[in-house]
Amino acid sequence: MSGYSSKSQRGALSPHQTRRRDLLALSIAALLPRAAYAHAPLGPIDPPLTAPALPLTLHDSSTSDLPRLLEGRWTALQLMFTGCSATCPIQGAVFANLQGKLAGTLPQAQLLSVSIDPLNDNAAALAAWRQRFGAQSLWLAAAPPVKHANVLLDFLDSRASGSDRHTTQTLLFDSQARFVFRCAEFASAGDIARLMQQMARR
Amino acid sequence: MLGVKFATSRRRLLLLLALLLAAGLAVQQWRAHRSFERGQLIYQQGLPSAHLAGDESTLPGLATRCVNCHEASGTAPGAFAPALNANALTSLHARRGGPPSRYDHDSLCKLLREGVDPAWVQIPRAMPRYHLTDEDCASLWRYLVSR
Repeated sequence: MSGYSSKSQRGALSPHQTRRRDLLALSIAALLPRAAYAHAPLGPIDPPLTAPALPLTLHDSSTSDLPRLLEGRWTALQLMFTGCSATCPIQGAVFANLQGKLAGTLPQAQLLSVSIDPLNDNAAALAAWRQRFGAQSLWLAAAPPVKHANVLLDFLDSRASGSDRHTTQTLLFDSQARFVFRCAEFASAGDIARLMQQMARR
Repeated sequence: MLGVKFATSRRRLLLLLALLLAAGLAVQQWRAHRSFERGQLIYQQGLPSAHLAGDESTLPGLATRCVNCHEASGTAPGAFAPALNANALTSLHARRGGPPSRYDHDSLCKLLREGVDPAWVQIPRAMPRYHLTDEDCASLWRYLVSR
């Protein structure tokens, strides 16, 4: 008999095997529906990619750069823009749900919404967007300078055609500011939280 | 004398029937109008009872409004998702690579609840699945086919 067909077999798995099984299952499950909005493959990034030194202005008008924001934390990053009416409200809702699942279970977790429209998304617009979804302190929003707008899209390989122009994948970074995992389009908050918790335990 | 009384009574009865008929039609029109307005409200403001496929977490109304995706907004060159109007819904044509199909009230409700279109093709995950009452679905259909 193969696979994980009984509870006793599931119980016999090591934590490492369980993690691998969950990662594989998440990847396969995400591939099953027709990937009408897929932009890039999903799954682990091997080898992990170090985040570029991208300057960012945050929703509270402070400035930082991407590696500095990411270091020391497990981060779920999404691309968005505040004028996006189609996919971004759903992405915002997923992050709103995700912050509730991570608070208290993964203290070093952080959520980061990065605008792909820095021309229009100033700190005030980002702050209003955060407020609309009830963002708490672990959820940051930021925008790069206009001249650097394409750096992150290129680094993440997340360009897309159509009116919203960006991936709806959630992109995971480890505490060393490395891009380590690409989730499915519109992955559920539960799946993302589980994945982050498992990766952080490694 | 008796004939005049009879004629008067008959006129009154006919008048009463006409009034009842008019009242019935008015109520029917009022109900249709309310249903239309309810459909318009759902289209524009969404329902706080929707979720992504395979994820039972409820999405807020602002993320589930039909208008978010089915109409162009801002500087976007076009809408993110197909137009929702009488012509687009009820004309026979191929959708999502499936065989030619058209919507009716029941198939729209099925799509909204289960994410399957009239040709049994699954719609993208970006489209939420709705917990919709029969009445709300009828209202939405009434509104959409009036556009």
